[in-house]
Amino acid sequence: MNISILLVEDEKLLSESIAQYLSNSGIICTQAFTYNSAVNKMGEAEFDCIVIDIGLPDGSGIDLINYIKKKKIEAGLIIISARNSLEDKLEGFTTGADDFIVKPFHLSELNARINAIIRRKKFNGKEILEYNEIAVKLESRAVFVKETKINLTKKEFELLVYFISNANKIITKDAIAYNLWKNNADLAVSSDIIYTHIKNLRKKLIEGGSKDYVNAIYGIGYKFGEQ
Amino acid sequence: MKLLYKNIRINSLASLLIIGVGGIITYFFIVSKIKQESREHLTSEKVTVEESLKNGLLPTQLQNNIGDEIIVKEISASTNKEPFFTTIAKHEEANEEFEEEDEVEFEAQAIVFNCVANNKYYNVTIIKSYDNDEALGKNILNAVMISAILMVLAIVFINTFIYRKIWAPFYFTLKVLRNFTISKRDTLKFPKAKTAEFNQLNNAITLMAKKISHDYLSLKEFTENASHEIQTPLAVINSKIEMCLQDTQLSPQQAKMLMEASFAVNNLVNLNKGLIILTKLDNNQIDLPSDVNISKKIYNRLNLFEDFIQEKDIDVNLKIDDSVVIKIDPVLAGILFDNLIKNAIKHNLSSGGKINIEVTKDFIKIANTGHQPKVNTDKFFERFYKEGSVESLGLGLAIVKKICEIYGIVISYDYKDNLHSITLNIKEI
Repeated sequence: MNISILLVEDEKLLSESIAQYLSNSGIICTQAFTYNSAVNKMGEAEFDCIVIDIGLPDGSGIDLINYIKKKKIEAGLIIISARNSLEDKLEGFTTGADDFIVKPFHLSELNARINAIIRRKKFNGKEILEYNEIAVKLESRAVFVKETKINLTKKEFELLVYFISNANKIITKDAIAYNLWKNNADLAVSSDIIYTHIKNLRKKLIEGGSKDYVNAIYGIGYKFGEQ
Repeated sequence: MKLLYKNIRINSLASLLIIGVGGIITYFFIVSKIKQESREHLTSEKVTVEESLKNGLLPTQLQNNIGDEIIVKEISASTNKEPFFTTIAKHEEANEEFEEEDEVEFEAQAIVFNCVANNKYYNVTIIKSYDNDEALGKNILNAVMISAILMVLAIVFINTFIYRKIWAPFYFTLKVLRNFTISKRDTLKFPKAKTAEFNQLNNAITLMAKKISHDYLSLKEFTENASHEIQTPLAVINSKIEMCLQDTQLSPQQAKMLMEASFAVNNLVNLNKGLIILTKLDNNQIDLPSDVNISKKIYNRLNLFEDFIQEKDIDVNLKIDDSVVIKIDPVLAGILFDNLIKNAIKHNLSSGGKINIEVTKDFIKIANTGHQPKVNTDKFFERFYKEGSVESLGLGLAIVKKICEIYGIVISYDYKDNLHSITLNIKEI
């Protein structure tokens, strides 16, 4: 699956990091730094997903969303904002954004969200997320290793989806905590709960017949993938 | 002391003093005037008596002025004596109608002179009586006292009346100032007063309030913008650290340093998030309240935090009235219970602790076991208050308190029987 996205972010340093991270995950990333260049790029190519920063030098990201809606461009929309105010959120969603992420965010989180939106758009959620012998049915929330169904808790399931979305990437404990508990991540960071969940997930996967893909990276976090 | 009483006191004292001194002066002035008039009178009487004697009238035939007394003594030879005035004391039977004392001492003016008429020598004394000093003094004293009382009454009355009327704009200004809250973006408005000074005062206050409001607003705006502007550089730092961490060539030493940097950035991120919420609350940027069911919010949070409750093996006891509803912005209610319950989990014993939650129509009480508080518990709700733990930013309870303040909920902390309890009084809202 070739995914191409348009990244509209005026902060070049941030845009570069995002583009680099996403390209490493196999996403083709086109960068635009202004409203006008974003409009131009949209005219030149089609994108699966458009990531838009609300604060642009020559126009609001909201205007850009309105433009996209007016032109009936079929693409997933993710808003990046420095403001986590509810007003921005409501305004963004009512004009048709699919997701909303607040600065600063983990690159792995943005990557997971982009993947989720594209899956939803392209496959109506019926897609099967696969990693070698592991298959995750997103709609029914069922996980299979080879043909064997394994039972995961809600958090273990979310963790697995997050891992597969960021396969072969090093993910910090903070990023995992945020993905699983969002605004209450602080509680998780100060406890061993992430370790417990990962330990259980790993055990269940191995017991189900999968290879051990969960690698602890000492002092940093985890990496899901073949060693 | 009220200005009114001060005024009355000063005015009354001054009036009494002036009236008193005035009374004394009046007394002496009148006395001297009476003396002078008596002497003039006596002088003219002397002329009449001399003429009468010269015209051959016998001393007994001399006409008496009412109240005057003429004593004529025939003397053997003329002693060339100048006429002189004298004051003599006189005893007289009291006038029964007016005086109760038996005898009253009088002072009287008299003129004594010698005269020759028809070859006879006379020594004449004319005594003119007038009101005695004592009676005069009494009368003047009475007059003074009556004036003084009237004066004080007038001062009290006029002052009170005028005070009410004149100072009314001042009290209005005070009332307006008392109700002025800078965060509510009030603009002060005063009706035009009839007194120039009060108009000046009101103008000065209006100007000052405008300036303060403006400064306050720009400061607030600055704070809000600053905390939002910080987000982008933080995002850049975070993303760069994350990219670095992907490098497989990283030495353990470098990885450790990057993680430490990441940890510090994360603290900064969380701190900034907390400050943004507090700024929003300070700026009253909140949505309209709607009916929020407390029990639902609490069950929802407990569900959300189930992992952590299990991990610490916390025993949760609930005594919740499911029907309790309060009017609050649902998002803020979420933040409120997030913070309260997170707090009860975070600061609980590392294993086998307790959380008791009680919800009634009057109060919400969240109690948890934990270590005894070390420092002044009054500071628990202050910003950046920390109890030893580095992981806590010290903003959670400050946010809780601010939300409670907005909705008029009284919040209190108590440590009793090894339980930390936070009570929200929702009876009044």
